[in-house]
Amino acid sequence: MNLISKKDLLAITGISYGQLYRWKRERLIPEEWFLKQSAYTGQETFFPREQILSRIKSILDLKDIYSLEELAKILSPESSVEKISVKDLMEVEEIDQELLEILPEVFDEDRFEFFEVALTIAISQTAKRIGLSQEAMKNLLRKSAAAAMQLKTVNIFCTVFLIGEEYHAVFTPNLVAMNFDNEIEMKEQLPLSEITDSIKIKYKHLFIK
Amino acid sequence: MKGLKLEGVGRVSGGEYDSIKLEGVSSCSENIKAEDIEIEGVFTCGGEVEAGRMYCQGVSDFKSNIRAKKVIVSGVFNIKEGAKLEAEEISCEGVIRTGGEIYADVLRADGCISAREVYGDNITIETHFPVNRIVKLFKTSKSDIKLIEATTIKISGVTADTVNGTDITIGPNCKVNSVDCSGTLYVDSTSTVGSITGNYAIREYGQP
Repeated sequence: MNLISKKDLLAITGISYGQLYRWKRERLIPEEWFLKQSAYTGQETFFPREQILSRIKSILDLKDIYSLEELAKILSPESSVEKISVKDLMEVEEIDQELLEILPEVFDEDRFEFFEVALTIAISQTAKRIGLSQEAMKNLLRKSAAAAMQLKTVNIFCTVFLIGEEYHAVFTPNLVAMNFDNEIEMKEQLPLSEITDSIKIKYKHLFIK
Repeated sequence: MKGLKLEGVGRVSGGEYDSIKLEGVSSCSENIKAEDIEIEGVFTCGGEVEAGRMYCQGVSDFKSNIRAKKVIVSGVFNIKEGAKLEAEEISCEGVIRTGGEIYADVLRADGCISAREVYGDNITIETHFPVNRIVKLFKTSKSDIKLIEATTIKISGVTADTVNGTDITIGPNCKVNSVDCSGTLYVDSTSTVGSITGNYAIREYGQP
């Protein structure tokens, strides 16, 4: 996992210790992103680099528009968000419209949790980036939904890989280095939380109670 | 919602309250949430506590996390190892003891704080000599903290492994193993500090 130390984080973003800990206390930064590790100076705290930098940018961009309480609702993965219908999801341009028609079959319901929406966006964006056919994209969502649902949090990484002509996905709590044999090709690794921050902000009226 | 006042010996049921006032010996094994909690006797709580204001001038033992807007301690506040105390503001004239973490925007203590880690924005811990009545009763004369990390830190009578901050004032009678400072630093001549790192400027006492 690509990590950044707390000291470097404060230096790069210009935030203070007080802001960092206030935002942690307000649940704007998930506790599991604070990774304590041994360093030559003793114990040091590190963060997953992409996730924390993206989150702090979101907080800095929005802190003058929303109160910390409102921001926590927007950014916290635990915040209560409305279940959303296929009709409303048509507004979300990050979702490939082809996936919308199979959502009730994949998730076995008519209204979808935010986590399910995030997964659908992740698969849509991955398909676009690596040039999946529509059928391969639908199959990937069908296959990956059950595995992702077992973790049921947006604080996970989605890794997509290709075996022969079949695409598969694996979900892990952290970004882990994966060494596959030469018949498996890794195609994409992305944190779901990176998607959810921007989606919640962009479609606040759909997701936030 | 409801108010609760206990004067004798009793148990507090979990749930939501407007206010809780405990004057006798009481305990609770479930989570409680209240706008105002006052503890004047002895209270043991196994569940999590969420409060607006929490005032303790008795002796309380908490086994789980505490989350409040304001915490005022003039008695003794024990928190089990691993549990967290989180508040916007903490004021301590008594004793706070925890093997866990304390988070506060503002922490002002002239009593004693014994904790593994204290994090926040503005942390002032000045454990005075001679110590006050409550502190003396519990035979604690120095605050002992493994790590203090905050934007502004002012300590005296504190033993700490590590102090990291922007502006740090290490007043009298402190013993600190390592300091990392990125702003201004003052170290009193009666205090001992091991290593000092960071891009800091030495400041005279009393200077901003």
